[in-house]
Amino acid sequence: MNDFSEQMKSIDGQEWLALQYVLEELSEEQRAAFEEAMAVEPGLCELVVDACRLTAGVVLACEGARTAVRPSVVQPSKSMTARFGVLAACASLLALIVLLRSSVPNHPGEGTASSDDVAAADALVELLQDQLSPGGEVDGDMESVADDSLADLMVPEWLLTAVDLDEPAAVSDDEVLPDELNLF
Amino acid sequence: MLSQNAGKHSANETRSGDGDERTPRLLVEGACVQWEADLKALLLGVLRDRHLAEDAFQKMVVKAIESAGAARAATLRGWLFRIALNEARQIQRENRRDAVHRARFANHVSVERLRVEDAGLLVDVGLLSDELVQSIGQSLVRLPQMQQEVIRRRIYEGLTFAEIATQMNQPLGTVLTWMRRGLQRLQEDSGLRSLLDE
Repeated sequence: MNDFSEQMKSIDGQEWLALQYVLEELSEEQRAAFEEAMAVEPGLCELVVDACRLTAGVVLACEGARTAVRPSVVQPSKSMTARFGVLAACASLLALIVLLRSSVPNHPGEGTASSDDVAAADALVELLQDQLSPGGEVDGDMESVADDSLADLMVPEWLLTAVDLDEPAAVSDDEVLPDELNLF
Repeated sequence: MLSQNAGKHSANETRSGDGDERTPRLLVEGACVQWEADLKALLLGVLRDRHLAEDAFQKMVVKAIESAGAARAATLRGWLFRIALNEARQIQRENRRDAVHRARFANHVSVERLRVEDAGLLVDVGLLSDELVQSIGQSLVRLPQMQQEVIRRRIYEGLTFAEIATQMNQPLGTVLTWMRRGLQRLQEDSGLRSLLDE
């Protein structure tokens, strides 16, 4: 404690005590005495601010030097998670693009449609025309292509139900409608 | 000092009315904003935990505003430091009673280093710039090898001086001397001093 009192008498001594205080190198007794002195002398508080700034700067400088040498070690869990997330997002996006390109036919205006795509589109148009006018004949080859195209079409159930409800004339006279459908 | 000034100030307040009563409060509020970085650095130096330091700062501001009538412009900074120190010591006492924190605060045998996240508080409040951190790093590298090693192991790695002395195969007194001289040279480094004084 004598050493402590001696150091408190000079600026150099006070600076060294402030550093020791921030580094928790003082004993309980010395720490309490230093805090009592800080409460009376604001200058000691300023020294503690400087000491804290210096030690924090050393910590960050050493941390910066360590990460500069071994950048892959810095926060591995965070960087791995981030990388995985990016990879997953890219893979999902790629899969979506591939799915869209394989399921959606090219429009004529794009100029990159293949001859098969054009033939399939023509077949679809003809099929639709045949649906509208049932007497129309369909070319055998085109029919198979159209069937394949039709097979790829996934018409939702709700649409079929809606179509059925909208066209009561399409229902044969022999069918018995359930009571809840007799709306009129 | 506070008790001496309190009586005069309260007399002035009653004579001046509501408008002047707001002035000390505005003065204190402005000072808390202006010196937030230094106050938080002081609290971090006492508490060594950024969350506790920030908590103490909030309590300090409330206490300072409540006691604004006793503040004087000439001694305002020291007055705020005192309030901050009192709040920090209060938090230390509370944490020492808390069994969860007993190992951290009561056991001075085990030395803990200032964590990077805690040091980051001074970056957040603008007291440590990238330039200053780099300058400290450069000054550190310019130190004699042994002083550099002791400082790095003690401050960054959190080893005790006894452990450092064992690792470096040197007497404890020698290690302490290297530490003190190294830190003094860092503080006296001309390039660093100009940045610290800004």
